[in-house]
Amino acid sequence: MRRLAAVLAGLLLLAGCGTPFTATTGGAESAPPLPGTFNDTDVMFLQMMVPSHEQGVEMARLAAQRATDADVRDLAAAVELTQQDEIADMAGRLRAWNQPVAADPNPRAHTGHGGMHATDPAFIETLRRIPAGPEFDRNFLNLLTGHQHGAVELARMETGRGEDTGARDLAERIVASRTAQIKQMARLLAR
Amino acid sequence: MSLKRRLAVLGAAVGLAPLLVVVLPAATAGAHGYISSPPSRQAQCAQGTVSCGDIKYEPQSVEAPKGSRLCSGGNPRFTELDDNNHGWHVNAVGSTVTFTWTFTARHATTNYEYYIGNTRVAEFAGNGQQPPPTLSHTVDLSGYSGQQKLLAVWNIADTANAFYTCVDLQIGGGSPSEPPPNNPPPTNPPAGGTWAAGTAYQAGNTVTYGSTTYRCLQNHTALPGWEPSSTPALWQAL
Repeated sequence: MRRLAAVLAGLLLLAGCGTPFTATTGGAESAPPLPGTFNDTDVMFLQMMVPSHEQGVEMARLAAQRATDADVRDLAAAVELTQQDEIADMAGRLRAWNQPVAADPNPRAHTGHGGMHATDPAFIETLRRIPAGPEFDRNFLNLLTGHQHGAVELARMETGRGEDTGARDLAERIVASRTAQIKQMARLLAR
Repeated sequence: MSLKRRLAVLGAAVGLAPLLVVVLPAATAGAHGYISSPPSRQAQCAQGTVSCGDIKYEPQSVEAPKGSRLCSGGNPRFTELDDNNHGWHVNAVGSTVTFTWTFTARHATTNYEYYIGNTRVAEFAGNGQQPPPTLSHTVDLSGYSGQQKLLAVWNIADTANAFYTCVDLQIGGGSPSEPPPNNPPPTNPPAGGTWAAGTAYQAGNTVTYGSTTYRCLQNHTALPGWEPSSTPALWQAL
């Protein structure tokens, strides 16, 4: 029966991300949570964050090669590498919980949550078409700033309502590092 | 709740979910944005120029029903933006100013309006389209001088809401407020020192963090949340 509940909760996540309902996948309501249990917020956080991170990696990889400002290139390369590690970490957690890594590959599937967590793929394509120069650097910094605001918003949902300690720790590091990146990018934009 | 009852609730929830997917996008605006340059009040919160509450994590979220002339739009979560004495940095500008928006997601737009007091000083049509990745508007403020509070409103086409963002300006010379003291540029590391956020590390530099020594693998400026123990892509434990 537990498995059926998990399947139903999984369907909920697929269909509408599940927030309006407390479909607990990891623990019984009557007992306190066991160590290592997780809830639907943990799953939703990870499932939404993986594709968001993949977009961030795509933007950062482009900028690590094309940005004119060496500091922008270094930041982009560090973002690319750290987010790749985080994707592996997040996918590993989902697999350990027998949850699908991708709830829905279409970023628009989550518009019910405000759609703020994914960047429109068309804008990454626009960035790709801008040749190297100040215009590229400015667009990249502005686009990644917006993208990381979305990541902070999603991670704060997890720090507020998530249950799994590992996922919450990751979310806290995401809030801290992205907030600091946003400050750094503001300084780079002001040059 | 019995297991049977619980499954019944879950089943009902699954039945409802497809409807929610259709209904929710109309109910919540899927767009967020603010003016990042010159730094608006919420941009200064996000950039750490001034200390703020939750707005520092989500400068893009100042959303409220259309028609307000408040910096918060009347959104009760962000009323600190309405406080003119919060220590906002005043941006020194000429008589024409280019405002740049940062978006986290983009929604069909009715228009962008710029106000000083109750006077609309500029309007830019949105034509029901999504804004581009980087959007800038150049506004003629030659009719104004001295310190002014400019309010920009982004009116969304398919919801009742708008996004609000105020920029403090010192128009046409004069002395603006002191520049922001925060956001120091990165410093260079002492050899073999303790890891510290804000330091620009080069590949090959070594640091200690906790009781472990690490070697930097990729040039970067150290950030909170990028501690060597949790970023194997940036730091190799020795």
